[in-house]
Formats: sequence, C-alpha cells, structure tokens
Amino acid sequence: MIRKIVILSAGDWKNIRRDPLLIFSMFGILLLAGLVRFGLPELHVFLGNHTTFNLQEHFPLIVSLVLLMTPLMVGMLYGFVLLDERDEGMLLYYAVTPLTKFGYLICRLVLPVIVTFFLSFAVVLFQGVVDWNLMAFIPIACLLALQAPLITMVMASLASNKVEGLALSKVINLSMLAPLIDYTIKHPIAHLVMIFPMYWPAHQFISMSSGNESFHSIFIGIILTVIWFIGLNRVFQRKIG
Amino acid sequence: MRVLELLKMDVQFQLRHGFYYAYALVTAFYICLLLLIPEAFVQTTSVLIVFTDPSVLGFFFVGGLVLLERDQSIFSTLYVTPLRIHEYLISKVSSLTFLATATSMFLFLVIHQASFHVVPFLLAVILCSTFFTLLGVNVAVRVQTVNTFLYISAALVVVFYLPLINYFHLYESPLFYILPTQAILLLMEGAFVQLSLSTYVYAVVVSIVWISVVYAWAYQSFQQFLKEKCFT
Repeated sequence: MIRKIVILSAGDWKNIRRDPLLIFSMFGILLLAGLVRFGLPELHVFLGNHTTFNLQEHFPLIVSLVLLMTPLMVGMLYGFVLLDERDEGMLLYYAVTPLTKFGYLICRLVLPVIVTFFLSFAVVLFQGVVDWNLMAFIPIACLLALQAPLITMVMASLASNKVEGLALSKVINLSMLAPLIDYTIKHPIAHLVMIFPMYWPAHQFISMSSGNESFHSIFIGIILTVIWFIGLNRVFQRKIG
Repeated sequence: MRVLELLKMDVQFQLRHGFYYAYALVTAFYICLLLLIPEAFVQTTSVLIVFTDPSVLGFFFVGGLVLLERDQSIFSTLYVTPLRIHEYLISKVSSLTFLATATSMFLFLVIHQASFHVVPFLLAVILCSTFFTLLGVNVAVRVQTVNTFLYISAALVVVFYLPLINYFHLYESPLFYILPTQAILLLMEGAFVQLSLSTYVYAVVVSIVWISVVYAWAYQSFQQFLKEKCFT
C-alpha cells in the first residue's frame, strides 16, 4: 500500500510541476507574508499618526491569521482537485486499481500535509514582525499542517460536486476567522469557536509570542483535529460508498 | 417563455447546491461584523463588503457552473433543443445577479435601514454582477479545472479592483475612470451622497459599454467552446 501511495504521490508531483497552480498558491501566500513584513509596520505608523490605535499589539494575531491561510489555501486546492476528479468520474478508475478508494484518499491528503508544513515555515521566516523560536514553532507547524487535509476532507465529504465545493469554500473561509472572533469579542459565547480545530494553531502562536511555553493548545488541537477527521471520514465513506 | 423556464431551473439548481444557504451565512457574518465595528467606519466598510463579495459572486460561481455542466456533458444535450446561447447567458447572468442583489439589499437594509439611496445602489450591484458574471463565463470556457479558474480570476480581479486605491484616496488617476469598477464604485457611493446627473450618465455609459463588449466576447467564446470541446 505504502509503495502505491508513493507512486501516486510522485505522479502528483509531476502534475504539479506541469500545472503551476500549487506554485501560484505558494506565491500567493508568500506575497501575503511579504505584505505583512513591509506593509504592517507602515500601517502601524500611519494609524499611530491618525488615531490612538496601537496596531503593533495585534501583530501576533495578524501573523497567526496569515499562517492559517496556508492550510486553508492548500487544503482547498486539493479539495477542488478531489471534486474535479470526482465530477470527471476519475474516482471510479482509481477505485478499481490496487490503490483502492481509501488509498486514493490518503494520497490526496498526504501532499497537503507536507506542503503546508514547509510553507508555514517559509511564512514565519519571511514575516519578520513577530519574534518566534524554532523549537516552539515546530509543533505549531505540525498542527497547521494537519489542518490542510482536514479542509480537503470537509470539501470532499460535504460537497457533492465542484459547484457545491465553491459554495462551501465561502463558508470555510469564515472558519478561518475563529481566532479573530475569540480575540475581539469578550463575551463567553465567543469561546464556542474553540470547537474549530483552526482556532488552536493560531491560539498557540499568539501565546508563544507572548512568552507562554505551555503546549496545551497543541494537544487540544490535535485531539480536536482527529475527532473532526474521524467524523468527516465517516461522511466521506458514505458518500463515495 | 424559454428563457424564464431556464431561469427557474438555474435558480432551483443554485438553491439545491447551497448557494443561497452559503450566502445567508456569509451575509449574517458580515452583518455581525458591521454591527461590531466603530460607527465611523460602517459606511465605507459596507460599500467595500458589497463591492468585493456579493456583487462579484457571479464571477466566482459561474466558473463552477460552466465547468460542472461540461463534465456532466449537459451542453451536447442542451443544444439539441431550440435553446440559444443568448438565452443560456441571460439566464446565468440573471439568476446569479438575483442572488447578488438580494444579498446586497438585505445587508444594506439591515445596516442602514432606510437611510440610503436605493436606486444608485441597486444599479451598481446589478451592473457589477452582470459584468463580472459575463467575465467569469469568458474565463470558465478557457480552463480545465476549478483551481485554474480561481487563480486566473484572482489575477483579473486585482486589475478590476484597482479603483479601490482611488476609493481610499491613496492615489488618484484619471485612468481608473476607464474601468467599469470605478463607475460602479461611484454609483455605490451614491447610496450615501447625492450624485450629479453627469456622474450617473458617465457611470451607466461606461458600465454598459464594458458589459456589451464582455457579452459579445462571452457569446463568441461560448460558441467556440461548444464547437471545440462539447460537440466533438
């Protein structure tokens, strides 16, 4: 099984090199990180001159949201690959090969994990406005990397085709704001956003930047991600069954 | 009326595939956001939201619709009926513009109640949605996958969103006034300020010219697309 997955993943890599889409999305995320690096300090000065608002206090939140964009974009990209292949009827062909449907799904989920892991490092290296340290960021990058296949799974299991995928992607975009909601709204009901796994890597990043060394958020995040994953996998199996 | 039948089917299809639910959720979110931000920013932000999201939803969704219909081999069946490309385009544009208008109006009515001018606002949303949906058809018939569609459309949107620089008074250039989006932004601002007759004429003429060009282009591209990719 592993060998088959490696073969299909290698095929994917060739596809990516031929189709510059993933490169484009990487470029998009790095552009955003660049905007943070060069734009945020400017905006801070601008706001300081015109208002009493201190933007610098919120840099960790902004960077954490940019970090969340990485799994979001990569996850959606693969979600649409899955939906496109399903609409074209490719899934049937994969299912009759020794790979099986399950193996196919694993393939489509492995690459987003790897890509997101490295891309989140690229973002954090490039942003340059929030202090971070390598040892504390590795678990955050791992948790971020796990969010990408989760988003792919949300799309693959809840959308029946690419059109529903597009509608769903609008809603998924909103989930990215979970950390922002909890950050800005003090009402206890805002804590409800903690059920979204996307909340936890951002939360850990913000607390890391304020010098907190505990890893609680990582553990909660991993457990929540796994629970969501199991639930979504059930829906997915029923859908393609 | 064939086109009305088609329009009904398109709206039903969009309803079934969750467009309306997705936008209900997104609009509810925007309303909460607008209620939370300081009052001084509400007007500008609400225009910005309507201009960048509901007004261009057609652009985004029409890509998925055309690609899905191609994958499901709908076109070869659809065009053995007396249906004409004009009717197909009109139905797609009207159904998506209907959703865009309903969403934008609901958002503005909740946030600004009766304190905005409905006519320029509605005109702006309808023109914007029509233009972008037709532009979306042009992109959709040239791509193979949703991902490619999304990236090409993102690149196009950047060009057409340039007048936002003017909107925020960061940089002004007469060149922005060639773009339909500058005209639409002016009309949208007309929701809160009195527009002169010349502004109305400018905005409507520029938008109609762009829409006509992009419609003719969409018609031709679609014909080519059917010939090359669907009937072979």
